[in-house]
Amino acid sequence: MEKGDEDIIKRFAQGDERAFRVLYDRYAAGLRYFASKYVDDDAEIEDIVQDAFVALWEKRADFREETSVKAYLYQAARNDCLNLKRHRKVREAYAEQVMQAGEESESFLDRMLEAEVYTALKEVFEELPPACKTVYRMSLNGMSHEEIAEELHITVNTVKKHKNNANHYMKERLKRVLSLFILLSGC
Amino acid sequence: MQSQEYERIKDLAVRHAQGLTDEAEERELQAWRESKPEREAMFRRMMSRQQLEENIRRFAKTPEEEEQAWQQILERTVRREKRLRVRQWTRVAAMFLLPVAAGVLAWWALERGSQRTEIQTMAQTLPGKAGAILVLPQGEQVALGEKAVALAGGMQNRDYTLNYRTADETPEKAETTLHLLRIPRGGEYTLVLADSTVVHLNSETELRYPAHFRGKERKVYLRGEAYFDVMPNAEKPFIVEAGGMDVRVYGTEFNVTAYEGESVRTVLVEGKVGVKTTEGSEEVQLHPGQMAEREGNGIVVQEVDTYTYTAWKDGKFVFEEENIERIMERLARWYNLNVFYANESVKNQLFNGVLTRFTEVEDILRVIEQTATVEFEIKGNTVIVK
Repeated sequence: MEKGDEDIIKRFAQGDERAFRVLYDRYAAGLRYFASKYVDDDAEIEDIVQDAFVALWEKRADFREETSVKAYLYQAARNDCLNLKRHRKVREAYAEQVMQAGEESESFLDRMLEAEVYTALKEVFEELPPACKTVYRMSLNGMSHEEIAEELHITVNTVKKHKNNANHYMKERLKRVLSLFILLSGC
Repeated sequence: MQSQEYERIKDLAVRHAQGLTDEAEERELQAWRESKPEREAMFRRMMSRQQLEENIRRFAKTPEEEEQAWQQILERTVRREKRLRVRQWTRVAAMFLLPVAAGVLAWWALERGSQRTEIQTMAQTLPGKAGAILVLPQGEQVALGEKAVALAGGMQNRDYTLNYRTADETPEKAETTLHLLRIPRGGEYTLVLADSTVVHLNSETELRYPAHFRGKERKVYLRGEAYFDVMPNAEKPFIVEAGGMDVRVYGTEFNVTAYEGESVRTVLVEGKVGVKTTEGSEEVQLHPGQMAEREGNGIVVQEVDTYTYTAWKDGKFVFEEENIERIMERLARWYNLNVFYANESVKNQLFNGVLTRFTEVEDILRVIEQTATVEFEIKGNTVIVK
């Protein structure tokens, strides 16, 4: 656990908005990925994550350490996901997939683990300089060099340079995260 | 999996990705991967560049998107509690301050030897309580408030907030059929549109909007007063049409007032908007801290203190050199009052002050009485100004 975290939880428990934001920045992306294991729709995922943080805020006085904050967030998200699915099943009269309690709790921890590892690896992306990050993100969204250059009012060469730097940094920091083919070409 | 083992595996997986694990740790990780068939697949997913990039694309939002989502959380947590606290605080304050205020008033009246008419005791007129009526395209009406309801069409309502982000996709041709949210006198409501734009609607206000924004622009129609926090989208400008004024938005926060019988005004808090008349005058660019007002067939721009115009959203009335007639119009909307004037000349008296919207109306009127030379007589929901 990082230094100063105890302090953040303490401040959060007392209702400090900035401490709340730190927790949001730390967990929102991972929770989205986690929720995507249960539901598909991005708007629904977003609502589930927001609900989890609202629920966390209401319980803030109860927390002493970050592990319990984390566990609470993931559990709240999971319950919301399962409720939504159950609801839908009743509504659309689906008759499949009855989850067994024990099995589900085991896969819950695995899913949470996967989301947390993603959150840790994503940090490398967050370390990129802002311009570099923007280009990289646009490129992941399928935009061409020319389109990115036009949107950001920079030259195609600068776009290539940013992409190259991003790619190089990601590979350097995540040596064993491999791709079957290089998504970001031109490097 | 115990929590200790969980943290250990997480740590090993992250360090494996970075190429920092030693042989013994690799063996430990290998054992975990083989402990269940799903785990090997999961491990490969975690270590795949494609999966990581797909996750970043989908789940790591831009700072702007993240800020928008965060604002919605704040609205439902920190700010909501602040609003509630204001209400509680004023209730307590009223208990202590009222007798004193009454005492001062009586003394002052005696001292002046004036012919002040006694304020009659009456049923207290309570401040507005948030509530709204949703009118669906087929004309069906739904009363909304604090209670959580899931509506047909996929919309969600709770805590005086109606949310369209979960609304079902509608067929293309439905784009012209608009929903209408009507806030009666004494109400106040928050609306989250399909594109995540947040709109705070003041009392006696109507907003018409589609359940989903299709086509080249996002257009809504306003009567009354609303504060917009618009989701940026350069390809689909957000347009508010209000009482002959078109406000074109480039991602921003601003307030529009378009009550009948009052001039139409747009006050910009943050960002950039363009304003023109609906008939199509040339577009005027507004900068933060400026107000655009429709005058005749044109638009006039002036510098203002934006807080005066947006304070209602935070539960306050701010009056700055405002005349009694204008003040009474605003109070009437929030407290649902009928106002009569015994003497026309008092309408133009000016008043300054910041008052909370959650106190009872008599307290507000009493404060005004003390600084301006007017008197109020209250009977139920009727106020006579002398």
